[in-house]
Amino acid sequence: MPASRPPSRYDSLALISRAFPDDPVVLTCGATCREMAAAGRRDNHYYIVDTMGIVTPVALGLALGMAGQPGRRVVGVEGDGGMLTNLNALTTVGYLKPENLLLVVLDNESYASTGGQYTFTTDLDLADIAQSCGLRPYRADGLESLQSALSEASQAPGPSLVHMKIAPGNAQVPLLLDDPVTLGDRFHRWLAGSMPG
Amino acid sequence: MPVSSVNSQIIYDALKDAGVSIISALPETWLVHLVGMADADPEVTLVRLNKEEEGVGISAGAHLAGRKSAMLMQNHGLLTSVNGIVSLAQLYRIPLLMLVSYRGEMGERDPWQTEGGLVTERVLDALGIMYRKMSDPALAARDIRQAQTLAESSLRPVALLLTRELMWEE
Repeated sequence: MPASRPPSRYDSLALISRAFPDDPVVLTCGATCREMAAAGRRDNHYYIVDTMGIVTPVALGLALGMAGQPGRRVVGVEGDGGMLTNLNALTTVGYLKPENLLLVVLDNESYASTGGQYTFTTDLDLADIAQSCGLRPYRADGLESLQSALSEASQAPGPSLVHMKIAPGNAQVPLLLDDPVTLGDRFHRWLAGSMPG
Repeated sequence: MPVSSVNSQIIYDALKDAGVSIISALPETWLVHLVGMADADPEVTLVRLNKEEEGVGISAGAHLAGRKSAMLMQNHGLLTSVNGIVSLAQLYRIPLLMLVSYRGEMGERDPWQTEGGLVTERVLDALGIMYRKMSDPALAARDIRQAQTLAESSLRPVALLLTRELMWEE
C-alpha cells in the first residue's frame, strides 16, 4: 500500500542517516543540509551549503577515490531542483559506472528552499531518466520502502539512484551557519581515519 | 592536426610524476592528445565530463578521499566552472589543479574564441586564483609541480594557462 501522504524530508534524512552510519553521505544545499544537521550531525556527513547541483560530481569524485574498498558506499543526497540544474552529471555517472555510488533523490516537486516554486518533476520521472543514463533505479513511496530500497541498492553493484517523492515544505529548524571550512574539515578527517591501511 | 604531441606528452608525464591519478576533461582541440593519453593509461581514471563545472566536484571528492587529480579544460570551460570554483572549492578550501587551454590570445584566428581570450586572465585575477602561462616545454614539469605544490599548501585553485606556443605547431 502506498503511503497516503509522502514522508517529510526530515524523516527521510533521519532514516538515511541511520542507514549509512559509516559511509560518506554528501548533502545538497539549503533545507537538506540544515534538516540533516538538525536531525543529528555526524562526521560522515558532508554538508554542501551552496553550489546547487554539485552533489553528484562530488559523490562521484569520492566514489572514484574510494574505489576498491569492499562493502563501502558513497551516498549522495540530492533534491529534484539540484538534480535538474546539473542533469548532465547523471550521464557522466552512467558512462563511468562506479559500483560504489548510490544517489538518493528526495523529490518534492519544488524549490522548497527558495519559496516553493514548482520544478519540472511534476511531469518528469527522475528514476526513468537515471535508468536511461545507465544507473540502476529504485523507487520508494514511503519510509518503509525507502528503507528497503536503500538496503537493496547497497547490496547490488551501482551506480544506483533511489527516487522518492516527499512532502513539500521545510521543517522548522535552525539555519546551518557554521564555517564551511570547519564543516568540510571534520568530514575530511573522519574519512581519512576511516580509510583502510 | 597541428596540436603538439611532443609537448602534450611532456605535460602528461609531468602530471603522472606529480602523482595525479584522476583526470577530468571535456574534449577540446588543443587537449586531444592529453585526453587520449589519459584514456589509454590504466593507472589513471579519466572522467569524461559533459560540463566543466562537474570537474570541480570530482576534484573535490577526490581530494577528500586523498587522491590527487587534475582538470583539463578550455578557458571557456573555466568560465562555465566559476560558480563551482567560488562556492565549493574556495568556500571549502579545496585545492584544484586546473590546466586551461588559452584560446583567443595572440595568434588566434577563430573569431569565436576571442572574447574568452580577452577576459581569461582578468577573471582569474577577479577570483583571486594564482596562475602561470606555460609556454616553454623545458619548464613544463617545473610549472606543473609548482602549481600543484601551491594548490595543496594554499588549499585553493591554481591555474596553468596552456598557450599557443606550447600546444600548437605551425
